[in-house]
Amino acid sequence: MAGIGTVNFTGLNTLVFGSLEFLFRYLPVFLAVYALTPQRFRGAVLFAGSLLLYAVGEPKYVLLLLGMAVMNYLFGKSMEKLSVFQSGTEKRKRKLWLAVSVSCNVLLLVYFKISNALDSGFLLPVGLSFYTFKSLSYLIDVYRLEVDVEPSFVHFGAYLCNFTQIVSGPIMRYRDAQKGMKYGRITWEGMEEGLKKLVLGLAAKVLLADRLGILWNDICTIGFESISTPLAWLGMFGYSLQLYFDFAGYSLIAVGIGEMMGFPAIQNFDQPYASRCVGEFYRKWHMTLGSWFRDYVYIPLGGNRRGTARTLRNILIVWGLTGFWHGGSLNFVVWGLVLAVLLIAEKQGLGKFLKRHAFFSHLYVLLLIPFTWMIFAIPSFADIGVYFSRLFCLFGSGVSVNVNDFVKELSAFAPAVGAGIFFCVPAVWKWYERHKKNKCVVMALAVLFWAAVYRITNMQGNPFMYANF
Amino acid sequence: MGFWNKCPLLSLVLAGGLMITAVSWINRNGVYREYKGETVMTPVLGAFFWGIREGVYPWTSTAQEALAVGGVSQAGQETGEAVGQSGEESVQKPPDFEEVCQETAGETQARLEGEGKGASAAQGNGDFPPVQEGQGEAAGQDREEQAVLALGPVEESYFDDALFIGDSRTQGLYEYGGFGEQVTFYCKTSLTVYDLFKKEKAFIKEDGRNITLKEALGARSFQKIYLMIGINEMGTGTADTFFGEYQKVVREIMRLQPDAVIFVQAIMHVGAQKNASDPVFNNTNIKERNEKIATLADGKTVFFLDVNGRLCDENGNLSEGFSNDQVHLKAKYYKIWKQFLMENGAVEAKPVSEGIAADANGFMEK
Repeated sequence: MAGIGTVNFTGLNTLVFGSLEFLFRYLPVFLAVYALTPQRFRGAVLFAGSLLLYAVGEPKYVLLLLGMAVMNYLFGKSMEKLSVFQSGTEKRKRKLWLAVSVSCNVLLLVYFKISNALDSGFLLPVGLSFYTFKSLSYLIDVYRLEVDVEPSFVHFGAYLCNFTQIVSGPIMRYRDAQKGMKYGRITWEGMEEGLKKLVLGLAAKVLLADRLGILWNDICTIGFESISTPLAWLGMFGYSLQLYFDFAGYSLIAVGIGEMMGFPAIQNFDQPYASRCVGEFYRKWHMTLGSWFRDYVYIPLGGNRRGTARTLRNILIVWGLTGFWHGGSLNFVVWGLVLAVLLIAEKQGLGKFLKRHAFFSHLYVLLLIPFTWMIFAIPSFADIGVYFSRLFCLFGSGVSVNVNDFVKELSAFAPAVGAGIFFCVPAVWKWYERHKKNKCVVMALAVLFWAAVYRITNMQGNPFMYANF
Repeated sequence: MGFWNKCPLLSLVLAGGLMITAVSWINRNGVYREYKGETVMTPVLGAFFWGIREGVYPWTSTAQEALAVGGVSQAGQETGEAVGQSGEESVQKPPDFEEVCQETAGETQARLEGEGKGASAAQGNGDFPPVQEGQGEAAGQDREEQAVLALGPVEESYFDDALFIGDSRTQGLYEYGGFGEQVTFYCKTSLTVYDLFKKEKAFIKEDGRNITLKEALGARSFQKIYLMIGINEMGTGTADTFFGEYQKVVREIMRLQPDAVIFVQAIMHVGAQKNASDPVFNNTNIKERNEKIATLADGKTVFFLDVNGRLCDENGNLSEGFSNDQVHLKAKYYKIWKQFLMENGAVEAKPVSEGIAADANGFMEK
């Protein structure tokens, strides 16, 4: 699976939340040390702990991360000296520093994205997409005077390298990070609340997403040309669920650990599959990325305030870039542009129609978004074509199809798919929020936690023992 | 109590963690001694969960644990297979299979003749114990009267009384090879050679029940039995320990199915990327095992087939376009394997001398 889901570490598993090393070695030790440290030194503990974890998990690129921290910290400092109220030259210098710093970050990201697109063996440094975007948000916020320049390298480093967010986000803004590090209170209630999120996220990722991942894996193994049409549909919906629970789960773990450390809780997903149009979907999916593009690309370009033509252009630019951010290969960019077209259509009247027709709008979202995920998930356009031809049974396509494949896969994955659909219903989460302090619910969470640990132990513990072909 | 009320989840997780760690630690040299996951980095509590998977609990006796785990661990079983039917057998089986393997050929003959089965299938080349004198003659005479077999092309109907045993590769052959429903497949993803008899794994679905291979082979009779197995267990043991069990398996199959011709198939290779990057699942290790498997062929009852020639590139890796995951063929390429099998059935060879004798007879009869 391309995109966010696959992360390849050059070192140990330590950066993987769903690993025994992280859950039972690193995390308890880190939390204990962090909680016992006086507030003013917590930034240092977070920075050191995050760097250490990264060094063990991704030794090849830890110096790059450190270098980026140094570079961006210095860029921030360079803008500090130049107050915006000074002369024109000072103002121009400030702008120049911004341009240089932004370019450095962007060029680095582009270099790695394109290299990876050209040679899939050339892997991105873990977290690159996230920490460059964090750097850019800091630099632009400093330029706009929305945030004070961080005088301490240690605190900036802690922000950039924060181990909870470096692998897969959320993309926390500097303002919130400051609140957490400098003023965050660690309380038992916070620990409990954060732990609940951690357990839910872990269960979502390990028990649901990883299981659904096998369905997609089976389909890829068979070869798209050989899957039956029902299986193609099952696979598409299964993938849509898998991607959601994988990503939302990971985010929830990150936010939960942050809460345990006294950081403000941020939301990255908000029941996206209950949306009624694509625009709403992407206001509720990977929210920190959406707001990043809105604040740092869309609005500076003029947003929707410079006339229709400009608005449409801005949407295309933002979504083309969003696609590229996910992956350098062309299918990602096309994915972004397809979404842009849908968003434009919604702005031009489709949205109004969807507002008036509730049932149809849900159908629209629950069909179109999975279709777009196929463009996202499949790197080769030829293969995308084959997949769609199987979805719609076109041209009598299909080579060596086993008509029993759907029954076999459904019987194996129906529970996971059913659970996935169930947990996409907002009412379920509303119920949970009302009852999460109930002791029975808490015990269920504890069971989920140990079930996830069971699965982690037996699936990832030792690749030698548990390969299965 | 205040803490429990304020932080119930935290309490449960911490208490649970401590208890499980204690249980795992106490038993680390006992029932959990086979757990290889623990290093400085990974916590000992993993042993507890590993144990549950293997059917080993803190209260399991060490004798039972040895049977369940037996020095090699079971591979996981995740894929399209319904996971619910794992059906871990009771670990307290009477090891009559072990006894059988330790019999000498003479004892086997005596036992089978006692059972009225006549010449046993305990024949083979150097790896099997030689047949004893007196009984051997009778057996030898029976064998001589059987046709001499060689590999040659066969029709579809050849497979009507055939059985395929194997792991997910054989599963793929079942689903995509294009064999009719009348051809029998006993296969399962993650199957290892130890699952076949030693662990009495009930992996075969028959009439709504799950049965073991021994039961299945006792109930039906096949004329041809194909076996491809060996990749899942490569992470544990050595090629020699693997082959030790493999030999026993083939012998047992021959005992249970005395009329069958056995085709031991070379383990299918893996793709170039996996071969280059995986320290365990690579073609060097696969070839090592295949060379041992090949020694079982005797040209009479046991034949060795290697489909890798049809599927691999010039470097002996599974051809690039043939697989998406470096291990399994794409559906549309299984027919290559079937084609290979149809070209290599065991058919009666016409010995050259017969032809001449006929002419000579005919000539002489004149």
